[in-house]
Amino acid sequence: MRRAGLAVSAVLLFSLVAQAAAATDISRDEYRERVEPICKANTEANERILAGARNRVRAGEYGKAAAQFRSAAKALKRTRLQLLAVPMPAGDEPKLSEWLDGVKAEVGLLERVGQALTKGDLYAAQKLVVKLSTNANRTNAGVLAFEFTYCWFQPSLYT
Amino acid sequence: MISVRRLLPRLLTAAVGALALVGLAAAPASANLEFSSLGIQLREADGTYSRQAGAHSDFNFSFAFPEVETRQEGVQNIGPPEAMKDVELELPRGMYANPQPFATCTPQQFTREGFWTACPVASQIGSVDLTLTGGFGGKHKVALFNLSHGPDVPARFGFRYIFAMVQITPRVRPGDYGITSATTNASQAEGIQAVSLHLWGVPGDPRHDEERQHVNRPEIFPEQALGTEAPRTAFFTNPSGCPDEAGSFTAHGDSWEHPGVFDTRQLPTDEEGNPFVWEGCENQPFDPSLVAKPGTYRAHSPTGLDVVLAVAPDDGAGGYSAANVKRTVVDFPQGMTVSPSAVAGLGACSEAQVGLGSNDAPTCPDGSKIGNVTIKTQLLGDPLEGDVVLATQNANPFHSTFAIYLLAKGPGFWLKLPGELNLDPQTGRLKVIFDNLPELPFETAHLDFRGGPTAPLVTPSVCGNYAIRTEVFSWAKPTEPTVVSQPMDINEDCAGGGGFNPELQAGVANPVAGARSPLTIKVHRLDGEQNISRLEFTLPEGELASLKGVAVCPDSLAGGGNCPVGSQVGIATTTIGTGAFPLVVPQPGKAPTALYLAGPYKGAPYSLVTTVPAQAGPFDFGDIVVRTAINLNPVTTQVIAKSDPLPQILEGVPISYRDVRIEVQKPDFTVNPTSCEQRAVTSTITSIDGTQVHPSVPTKVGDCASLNFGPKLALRLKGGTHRGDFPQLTATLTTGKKEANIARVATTLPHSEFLEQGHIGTICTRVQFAAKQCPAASVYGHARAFTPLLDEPLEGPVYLRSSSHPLPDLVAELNGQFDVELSGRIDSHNQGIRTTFETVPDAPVTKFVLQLKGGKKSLLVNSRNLCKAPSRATIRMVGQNGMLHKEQPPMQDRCKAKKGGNEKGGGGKGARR
Repeated sequence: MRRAGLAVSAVLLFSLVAQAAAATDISRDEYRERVEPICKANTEANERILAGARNRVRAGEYGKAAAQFRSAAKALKRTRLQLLAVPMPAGDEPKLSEWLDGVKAEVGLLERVGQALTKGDLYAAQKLVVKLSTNANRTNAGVLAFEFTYCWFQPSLYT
Repeated sequence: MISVRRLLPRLLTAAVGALALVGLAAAPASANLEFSSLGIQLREADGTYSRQAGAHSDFNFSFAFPEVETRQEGVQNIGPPEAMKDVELELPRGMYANPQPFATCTPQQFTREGFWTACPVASQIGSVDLTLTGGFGGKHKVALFNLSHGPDVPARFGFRYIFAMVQITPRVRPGDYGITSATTNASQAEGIQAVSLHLWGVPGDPRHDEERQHVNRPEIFPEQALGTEAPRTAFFTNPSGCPDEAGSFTAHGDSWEHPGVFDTRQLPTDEEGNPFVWEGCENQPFDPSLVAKPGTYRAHSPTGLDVVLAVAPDDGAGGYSAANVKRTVVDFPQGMTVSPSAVAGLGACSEAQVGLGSNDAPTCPDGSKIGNVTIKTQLLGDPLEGDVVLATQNANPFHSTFAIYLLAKGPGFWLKLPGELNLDPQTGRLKVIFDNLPELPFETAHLDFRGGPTAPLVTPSVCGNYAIRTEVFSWAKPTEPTVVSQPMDINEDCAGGGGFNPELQAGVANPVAGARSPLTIKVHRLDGEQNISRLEFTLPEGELASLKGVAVCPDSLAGGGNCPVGSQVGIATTTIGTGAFPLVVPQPGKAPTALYLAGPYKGAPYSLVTTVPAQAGPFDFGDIVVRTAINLNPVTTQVIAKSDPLPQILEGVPISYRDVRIEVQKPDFTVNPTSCEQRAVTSTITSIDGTQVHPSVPTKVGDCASLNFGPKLALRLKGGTHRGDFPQLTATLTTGKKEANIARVATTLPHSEFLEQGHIGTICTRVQFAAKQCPAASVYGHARAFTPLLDEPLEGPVYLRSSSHPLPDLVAELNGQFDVELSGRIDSHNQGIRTTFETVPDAPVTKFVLQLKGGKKSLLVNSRNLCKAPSRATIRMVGQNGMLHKEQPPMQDRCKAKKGGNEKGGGGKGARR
């Protein structure tokens, strides 16, 4: 496993919070205006949460790094709930739902990375990072047309 | 008497240390003349025999011919069987006589009318016992005088009895510089039966008073003792060396009856059977000194050198002469060595031109002269003056790269001394060695190597206190050097030694966009700065070369620089050395330099072989071959040329690079950019101590407006046309002639094509991509690029590669003669999928085909039935010349291909949604 990649990947994860939101006649631009601040806040929070995680993994301090990943997962989970609360444009509901499912999967993967690190199982952590990256790409691709500035994963930093 | 007078014009010459005798009487002969007796005696003042090296012994040479009875016209004669013509005596090397301190007898005094000479008593340096036949037959003892002479001989001695005058002239033998006397064309007027010549060790010694000849007396009368004003200084001296082997004398004699038929006798012992083994060398004083002054005390500058080697002179009659110098080894300090700047225009003197071992005048070319030599010896009135000349490389007595000759004309001989210049091949440290010097005394030897910008030496590059160390070996003690150390402080212009700030110059001859034009890159280093070790250049974007059809030098030949002419793409010029006139290579008339294109080297796909024939002046050091790896920045296609370390020393001569100039001048080889933006040739230049500097030169071509820009891009979908089908996409780009290259391309697909996020599976990481280890599953297509610069198209897989963008980049890995990567960013624009190639190399491409897979690996999915309505992509291309080209080409699909047919399309292997 590439420890550095793992750490960096976590640093720049943005978090998404959501509450279930019914589809409305909100426009795509309006939706973007409402979710982007949520994503931006998560990104900034995660930078603080995961600061130094890379070096801890390198130093073999897996326990501390694992805690950071779990915290990042929690933050992303909260963000997803916030995002769920934003009404979706009527025509985009399937895409955005799929997107939020991708975010949920990312939350789960982050938690599992934390668990793997807790066990000191770097091989498992590495495999999970690959999944994080693939899931992130797919999730991003689903909302490509929304042209987000903050609400996307940066999968290259997982590796 | 008349017959005796006729002898006068035929008087002989003889030698300082050897003796020449003149026959005075005619003798009938029927057989060759042979010596009946020969004898050498060397005696100390007390009468004992002398073998002390350097002692001033009395020397006696006697010989006689057989007495035979003959009858001529009824008259009985007793005398030698034939009339003596020539007698020569070769002295052992190192034995000499010094006439300089003594008065001379002028020709007028010697040949004055009457029966005897008017030579001054002080000019007598020995005596002669003569046994004559004929009219003045009988035994006679006469004085041997030191005669004045002309510049063609080193000395002349003479004796006279009545009207018979004999001159003895020495000559210096070539080769071992021993002394040989030669008596030629002796008169036949009187017969000479026997001769005994005595050369006095110290003519002024009062014990010779009874042997002095009074002025106006025909011969010596012992009872009339006579004092002298001659100084009590040595005249005759034994050799100063004590070799194990015995020395010997050699006598030659021939007759008028049989001229040229010599009776040659070796004399290995004296008359008492004692061999000539010299001894007591430890008793000889030897106190050499050396003064060496460079022409400048500036660091790292060409310099002449003034060297004076002095030997304390003979200590006079009372002791022994100072030992003579046999060998000198001048060891110059580290950093002071041969200057390449001196070589330009220099000539060299061959062994044949020098004529070692002969007394012929050298015929060295003027250009071979690098200095002057002046040798002052107590044996001659005037110093020997001559030249220091450069010897021909390898064809010299030492078979060495560097050697010199000291050539000086003496009276009647040429001094020709070869000296070896020994340069340490690793450090360049210089030693100058002269060995087997003449076993003769000198007071000073002054070598003056010329100064100025083309001086033969260069001072150390760093200021400091240095010393020139010289070992001086004597003939007396040839294994025990006297060490002389001469301080040499280099303390001027010290500042230049540490800096490293080379200047870069670069440009093309015809700076027109897209033109084919020679390219020149030059690095200039200031004199005194650190030397250049490595060069690395990065050419501006778009400055490329056409490899199509160019022969590549085989690797088997590239190492030695012997590449075929067809692979030559340019030339190289280097300027090396210090001072105002560094050496430019190649020199006029010498072999040209060459820059060859060669194959893979050190991981790079191509390389350049720079072959610089190291020929300058009379020297040929072979070829300097430097390989330069040629890489291409895969993103920008900038050419990156990284040289091997440049040689720092060649045959011991440090190579200080002043200029390195590369000219890529093969016609139609180099291609200019099609962008008129200012770009740069950048470089990394490394000094010998590892310092790196990065000078760059802005470059810019013009006339971009004259280039067109109108590439065509065709997009074709293949496969299912229904909504949810996963088509294959083929994008074909074509360009026209005289067009600017593409700088940026953005292709936005119509809304009929969505990105199929479910097919975004395996992504090649950037680390994997850099290592060329992308997983096969990360391949989503294939691309091929055709360029007029290469023989074959570049082609390779198209990957999805991780990026810092929301989606992976679409990257074409184009492999072939060079590897190029074309990276496109995927995003959305006006709800359409847009792929933007932000950085397209400024390289000519005639055709580019990118094919994305269909079916399960398709990155696209039809958002609607493609056959219901035509759709168009939006293309926005920017040329390197800044021109914008937009088009909206139709998406070609199977609907059009099946005009009027069904719309099922088919072919898409992937599942529909």
